[in-house]
Amino acid sequence: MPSVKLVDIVKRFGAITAINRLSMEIADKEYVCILGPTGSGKTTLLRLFAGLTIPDEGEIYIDDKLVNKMPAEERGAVYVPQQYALFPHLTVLENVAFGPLARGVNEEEALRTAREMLEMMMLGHRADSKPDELSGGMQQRVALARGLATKAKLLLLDEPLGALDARLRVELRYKLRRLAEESGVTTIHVTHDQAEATAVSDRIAVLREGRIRQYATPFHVYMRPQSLFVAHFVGGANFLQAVVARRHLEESVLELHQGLKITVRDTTHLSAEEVVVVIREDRLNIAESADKVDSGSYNTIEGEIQSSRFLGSFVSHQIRLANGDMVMSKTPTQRLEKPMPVGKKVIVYFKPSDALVYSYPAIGLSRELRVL
Amino acid sequence: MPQVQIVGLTKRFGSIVALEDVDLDIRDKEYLSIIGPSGCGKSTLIKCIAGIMAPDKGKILVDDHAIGNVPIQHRRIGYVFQEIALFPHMRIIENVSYGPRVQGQTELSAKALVNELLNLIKLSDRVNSLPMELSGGAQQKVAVARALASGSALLLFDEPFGALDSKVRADLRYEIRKMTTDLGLTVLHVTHDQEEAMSISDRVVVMKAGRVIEDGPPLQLYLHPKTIFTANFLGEANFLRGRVIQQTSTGAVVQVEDTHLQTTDKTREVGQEVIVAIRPEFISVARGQGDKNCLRGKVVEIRFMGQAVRYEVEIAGGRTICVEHPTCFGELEIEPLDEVTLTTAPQHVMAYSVPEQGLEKELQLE
Repeated sequence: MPSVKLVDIVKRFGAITAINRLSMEIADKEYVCILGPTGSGKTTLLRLFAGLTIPDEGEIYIDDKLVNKMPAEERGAVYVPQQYALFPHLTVLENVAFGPLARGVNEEEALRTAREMLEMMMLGHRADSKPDELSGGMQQRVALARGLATKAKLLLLDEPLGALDARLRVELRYKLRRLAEESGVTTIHVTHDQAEATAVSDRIAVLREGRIRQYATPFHVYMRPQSLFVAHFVGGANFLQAVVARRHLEESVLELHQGLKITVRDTTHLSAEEVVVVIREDRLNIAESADKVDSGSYNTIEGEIQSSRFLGSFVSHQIRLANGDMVMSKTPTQRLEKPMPVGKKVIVYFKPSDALVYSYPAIGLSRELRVL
Repeated sequence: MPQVQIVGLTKRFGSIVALEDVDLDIRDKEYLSIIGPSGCGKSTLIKCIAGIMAPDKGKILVDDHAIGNVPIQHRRIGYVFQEIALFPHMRIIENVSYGPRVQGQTELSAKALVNELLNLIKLSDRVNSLPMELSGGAQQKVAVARALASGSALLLFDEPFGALDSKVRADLRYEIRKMTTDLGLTVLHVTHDQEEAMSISDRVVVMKAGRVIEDGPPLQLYLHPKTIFTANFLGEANFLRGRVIQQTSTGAVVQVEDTHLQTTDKTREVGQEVIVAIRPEFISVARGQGDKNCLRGKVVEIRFMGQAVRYEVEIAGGRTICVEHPTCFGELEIEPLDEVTLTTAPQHVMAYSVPEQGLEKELQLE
C-alpha cells in the first residue's frame, strides 16, 4: 500500500537546477504520469523516487516514512530505466525470472510469473531467445516484463514504451494500465508523449524546467489547462493574440489582429488587457458556406484552406483567417471523409465557451510555448 | 526530375529474408512513405537505394538509369536518418555547405544555395552556431538542408524524426513536407509511425516480412484497406468473426454473434466465413435499443483521451469492442455498466477472408 510524497525537493547538478522546490503526493494504487519535454527533469524526478539520486534539499516519504537516506533496494520499488540493461548471456525467460528470484521467490514460482509477463508483453514465443537476437522494442518489453514480474508494489517506469513502434505502443499502453489496475500497484510513469499519458494515467504531472506546471486528471489538464504552456504541450491548440475590447457580465468581446472581433465566455480579464486566446484544434469547426454552419451561438470568421492532411480518425486543415492569422482545425473523419481542397473559401466557427483566455505572458508567447 | 523504379529487389542476411522480390515505383515529385513493423525490410530497402547496402538480386533505376554500380557519392541522393549526424565541430553554415565544397564548388557558388536553404528552414540567424547549440528538431532540419545542398533532388528519410519528442516531431513533419513540395523534390520516407506517414505523404506503402503488402493514398488505405494486416496496422480496429448470409445490391449482410451487420463490400459470397473490422471512431454508442447495423453490450470502461472519449463495451460472447467518441461531438450521458447500443455505417464495416494462419498470427506486429 505505498503512497508517496515529495516535499520541497531540490536537486542541482553543478549550476543547473534539475528539480526546483517540487512537492507532490501520489496516492496508494494511483497511476501517475510525469509528462514533460526533454530536459524538464522527468528522469531525475523518477530517480529521486527510486533512491538512485539523493536530493539536495527536501523530504521524500513512502507510506509516511522519511526515506531520504534509505537505500534503493529497501524502498520496495522497482525501477525500469530507459536503457534496458538485460543480461546478455541469459535467455529472455531467465532475464525476466531474475526479477522475482532476486526477491527470494522460489524458482518454479519465478518461472511461472516470468512466462505470464512475457505472454502479456506478446513475447511468449521468444522466451528462449538471447537478448541480442531481439529488436530494441522487444528488449524493452523484456525489461518491462522483468520489472513487472518482481510484483513490487511501487513501479517506477522511465519511458517504458519509448523504443516501440507506434502501433505496438498503443496496444501495450492499455495492457500496462490494466495490469497496474488489476495488481493494485502504485505506478509512476515518465513519458514525453501526451497521448500516452492521457490514455494510461489517473493524474498527470506536467513538468517544465524542474517544476510542476499542473498536476491533475487528464480531463482537467486537457479541458482546463492552467497555463499556455500546458495547453500547448498537452493536446496542442491555436494561440491567437488579442486585446480585451469590452467586458460584459457573462462574456467579453476580444479584438484580434486587424480589428477582428470575437466573443468569449471569459470575464476574468480587464478591458484593454493584452491576452492570448486558446482554441483547441478540434473545437474549431469549418463549413463550406455560412448556411452550413451548425445552428447555435458561434463566432464565425471567413478563411481560406492552406493545406490539408489526413491523420486517420481526424482530418486536419490549416486555414488563413480573414485577418491574416493562421489556425489549425481538426474534424473527425466520420464527419468529413474528404479533406477540403487548398484555396477553398470556408467559414471557421467556434463556441464562445470553447475559447480559453490567458494573460499575455511576460516572457513573450513564443518563449512561453517553447518545447525544446 | 527523379523517378525511381525498383525491380525484383531481394536481400538476404543468412537465412533471414529482408527483401523478397520487391517491385516499387516512385513517381517524380512524389512523397512516398513506407511503413511496416520492425523487421519488415523497410530500412533495408532504403539503404539499398542509398547505396549503403547492395541487394542480392534486382535493379534500382533512377530516371531510367540503373544505379547498381554507381558509388554512393555519385548517386546524388540525399540521405537523412534517425541519428542526427552533423559534424559537431563545424558551424551550421559549414555543415550545410560541406557537400558543395567537397564536390569542388567555389565558396561563392555554394553560398547562394546554402543561404537559400538556411532561409527555407528558418535558421538563417543561426548560421554561426554549433550543432549542439540547437534543439534536436533544428539539428535535423540542418541535416535535411545539408542533404539538399549537394544538389540532390531525390531524398531518402529513414525515421528522420525518430529521436525527437512527439510534440516537436508533429510540428517538424509539416515544415519538412512544405519544403520538399516547394522545391519539387522526390521523397522516400521510412517510418514506423502510421499517423506520420498518412499526414505527410501522397502515397503510403505497407511492408511486411520483406514484401510490399499494398499501397495507396492515405485516405483510401485507411478507409478501405485491401488486407486485414493493413486494416490493423494503420490504426486500431475491432475484429469480429461472422458469416455472410445475404448479398445485396449495395454489398452484403454478415451475421455476427446474434446480430446482422451490413457492409458495402461486394466481393463476399453467401456462406463465407469472414472477419469484420470496424475502427473505434466509426462506431457510435448510445443508451437504449438500436435499429439496424448495431451490437448490444455493457460498458466496462470509460477513459477520457483528449480529443476523444474511449468506451470499452462487452458484447455477447464476452468480446470487448472499443469505441472512440470525438469530444467535440459533445458529452454522452453514459456510465460504466450501462447497457448500450453500438451503431456503425455499412461503409465502415470492412470484411476479410479468415486468414489461414489464424487472426492473431496474421496481425502480429513484428
